Amino acid sequence: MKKLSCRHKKFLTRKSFSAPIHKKIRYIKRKCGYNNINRHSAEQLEALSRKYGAKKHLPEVMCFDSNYEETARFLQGLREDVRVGVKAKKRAKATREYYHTNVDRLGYVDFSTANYISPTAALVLAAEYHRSKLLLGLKSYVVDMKKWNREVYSMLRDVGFLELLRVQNIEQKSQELNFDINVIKFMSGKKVEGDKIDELISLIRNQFSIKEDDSFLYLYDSVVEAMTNVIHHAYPIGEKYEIPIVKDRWWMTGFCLPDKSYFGLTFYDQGVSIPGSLPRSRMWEHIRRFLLTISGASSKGGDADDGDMIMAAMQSSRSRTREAGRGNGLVQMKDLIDTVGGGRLRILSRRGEYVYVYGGEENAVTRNVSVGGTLIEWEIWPRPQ
Amino acid sequence: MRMIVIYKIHVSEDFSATPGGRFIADGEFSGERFRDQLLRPALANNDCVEITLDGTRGYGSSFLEEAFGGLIRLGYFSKDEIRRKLKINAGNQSYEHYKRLIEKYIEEAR
Repeated sequence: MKKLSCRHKKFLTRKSFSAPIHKKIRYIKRKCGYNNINRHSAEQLEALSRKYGAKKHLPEVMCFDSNYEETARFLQGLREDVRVGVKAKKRAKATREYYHTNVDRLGYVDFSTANYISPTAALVLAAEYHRSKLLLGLKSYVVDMKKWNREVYSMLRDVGFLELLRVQNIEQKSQELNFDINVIKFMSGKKVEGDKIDELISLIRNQFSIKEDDSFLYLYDSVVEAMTNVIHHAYPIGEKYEIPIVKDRWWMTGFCLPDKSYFGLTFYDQGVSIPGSLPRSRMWEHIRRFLLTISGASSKGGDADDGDMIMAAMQSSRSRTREAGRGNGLVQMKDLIDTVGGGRLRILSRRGEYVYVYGGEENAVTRNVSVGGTLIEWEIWPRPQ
Repeated sequence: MRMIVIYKIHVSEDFSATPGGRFIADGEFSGERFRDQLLRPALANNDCVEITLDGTRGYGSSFLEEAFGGLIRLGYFSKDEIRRKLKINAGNQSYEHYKRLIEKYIEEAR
């Protein structure tokens, strides 16, 4: 590749100034050899990473159950990259500069450090990369895949992460590998899409050979309500988002244990979260009264009592909009667990975590790091057949 | 003697097997669309409307409330009219739960 001098580059840029922007970008890219970014070796990527940004490592255990803080912090780092990227893109657009969207801009992530990734964490990771792709057109590349842990590789392949990154020659699923948990490729959308829930539920049933029963009927109801909540509440118009969002976007996946002791579904959105949307609602006073009964103190404001806020929202039978007939969605999600006769509902929203276990046990805590939206996980314990 | 006309709606066949969402903007098979395109005209033009709930993947509470509670909330029909004209069928035991929910939303609507 011919190396261009700085003077020559400036000349080419000036020369193509009057040309349409996409032609200009293509021309400069071709002349500067950016099209060859695909062929960068790991060493080159590392060198570029050192130049443009810090290299990140996937936590050894990427799981919201057993390693919440590290997992959430790592994902927060990815979100920060998106924020920086979107800002740079806007700046470049304003000044009519060329913005190259490649990995060298943001550094790269080392996946070989991870030994375990849960289906829920894999879904959130995929959602973050999906957001980057949608907002920045970010081309992400995978290097050193041979160094990856086999279980992590399988999980990311099955959840659809590698496909999202357009990795070529993905290894086929091996029947011999019997890992802790099996997962289904993620689905994403921007509307209430019942057919996608139906598809996911059918995949759970068929792939894991689970007998059809009422559990699936009520699981559909809960997920369709979660989707409706995303459209109505998660991405309010006029909200100032710290991290750029893709409006009304949600992601979901299904999982099952090989021994079929439980199966489940995870649903995620990157919106303002449940605690984030409550103070603006007309039922805020109602929620505050609940908070008083739960914690014995009124809301401190901010995100310091997110756990209690979710608990209050769950306990409230009325909706946040206080319009007639609203507010059954969260209740329906909880009712599912009691109706199917066994299971667990877990809601992570901003810094709050709420867990409801079959039989009535419920807990709420506030974590140190935000999950970056709302994550709902239904775990169903099928009745013995 | 006047003959009573019964209009039958099978949700999964006449509307969708995967209903969900409250408003038309939420998605393709919302409660609002079901109410305005099927339920309201059927109730207005017939003596009795029989709705069969079986066969769908399920029903979200927003869908049911908007479709049935919305009839009263928005002033299209009175509670008495709905009670007189609307008949809900749940052949399968699993769908009885939705029948109860619809009755609840009709009662609570104002």
